[in-house]
Amino acid sequence: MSQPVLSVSGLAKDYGNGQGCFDIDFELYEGEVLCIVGESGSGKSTLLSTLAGRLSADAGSVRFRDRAGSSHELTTLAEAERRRLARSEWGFVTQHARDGLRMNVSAGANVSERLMALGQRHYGQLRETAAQWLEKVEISRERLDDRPTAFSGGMQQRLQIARNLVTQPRLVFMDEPTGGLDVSVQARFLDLLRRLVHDTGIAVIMVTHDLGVTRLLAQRTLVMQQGRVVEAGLTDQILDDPQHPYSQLLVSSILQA
Amino acid sequence: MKLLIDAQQLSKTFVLHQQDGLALPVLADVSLQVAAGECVALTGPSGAGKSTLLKALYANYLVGGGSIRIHHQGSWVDMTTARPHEIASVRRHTLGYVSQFLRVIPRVSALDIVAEPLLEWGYSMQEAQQQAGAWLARLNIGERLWQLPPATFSGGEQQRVNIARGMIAPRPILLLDEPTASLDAANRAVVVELMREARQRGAALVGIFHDEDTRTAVASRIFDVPLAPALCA
Repeated sequence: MSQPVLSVSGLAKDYGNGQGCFDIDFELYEGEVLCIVGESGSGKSTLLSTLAGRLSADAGSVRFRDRAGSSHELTTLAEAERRRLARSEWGFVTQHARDGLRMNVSAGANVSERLMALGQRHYGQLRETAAQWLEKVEISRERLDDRPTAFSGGMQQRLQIARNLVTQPRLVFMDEPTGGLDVSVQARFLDLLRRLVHDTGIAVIMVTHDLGVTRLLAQRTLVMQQGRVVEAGLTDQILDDPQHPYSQLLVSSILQA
Repeated sequence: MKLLIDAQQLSKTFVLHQQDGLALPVLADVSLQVAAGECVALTGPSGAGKSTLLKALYANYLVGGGSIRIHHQGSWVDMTTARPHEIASVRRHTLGYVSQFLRVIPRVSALDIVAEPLLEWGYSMQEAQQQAGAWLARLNIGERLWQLPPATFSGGEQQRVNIARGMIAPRPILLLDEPTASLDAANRAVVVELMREARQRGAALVGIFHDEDTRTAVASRIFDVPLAPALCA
């Protein structure tokens, strides 16, 4: 079997006062989607940011295998190297699109930025790729030259997704990516992500409140409470036969549409 | 006789933490072996644990004790101890599950939903869609529906899309949870025929068939799921 893209062991981020995330262990393989669920303040977003190296870890190890098969220890990586990997090997889709976009340049420039950072210079090609990605996330290519400030919140989120996925990264972190989307757009987004995972083998770690999204998209789920993983396993097992009291509460609280 | 499923001494107790930790024993010391070409019908009174056993075999439910060995790509994998990544591989290639309910991403067409397992097997899009069309046609889903998402389909149509999706990849083991429930006689006959064909290609089938005619038509053996002792009281 192939090697994991990401191997996490004993990871902790301690804010003091009991806040943060602790004793995190898991492995993620190519083509896998892992959802992290739990209530607000359970440490989901802290874990995501610590994994991505946006927050410094206080203990443990996060090993990432890049395309070439080299392994990197992310908790001790130099900032310049982390930035290089962040640009070429992974993406980070933030909860609030404004945090993940450059609001003062055009939509096209937002999508092209990572391609240019990887050395693509052909203006016509960059523009065409950007236009195709706008269409993939259901934004008309006629909006290519508009700034994100002129977009609705849902459009901004889709633009952020296009901006992150355009270089087909190996690993994408997503923090509540569907939170601000209309349900119709959310469905399109889920389908898009599912196809990308299938076609390109990217691995995805997604923080979400939405167990419906989790069921449809993620093979695997971590349930967090008070900074710790209280249950981990196959998504359908956790949703259909939750073991931990908190997982049972979470699953029994879902509204049936 | 080539064994494909070897489940030994399974036990399963549901603990309901919302109900002050109420413990519901459902399976106790259940063992089941299934060979290639067999179709085992699970029987027993409602609540005896037929569905629980089927879901445990799929690792959808966690068992409290026992082992579930599945013959997967030339070796045995114990589903009770396998890591999620391994279970996903067993499900993709070896162990299929057909339920009555279709759970899919909205806005994806029926054709793509049915074709997806073949894409995961490495078929080309064209070939996968071609086969998906053939399966849908066989299950009497008209071609005008193929490009539509099944959300608006009738219950019976959705169920047939689900059967096509669950059976299209020729996996060596199929678990079937009332695959013919709520189908009309004509479609039930098609599903019975599909299950027979699966047996003929050497697949091992385990199913719950409430409809006695279906059971008689497809099952080679009956397995009466024993009641857990606490439930006998």
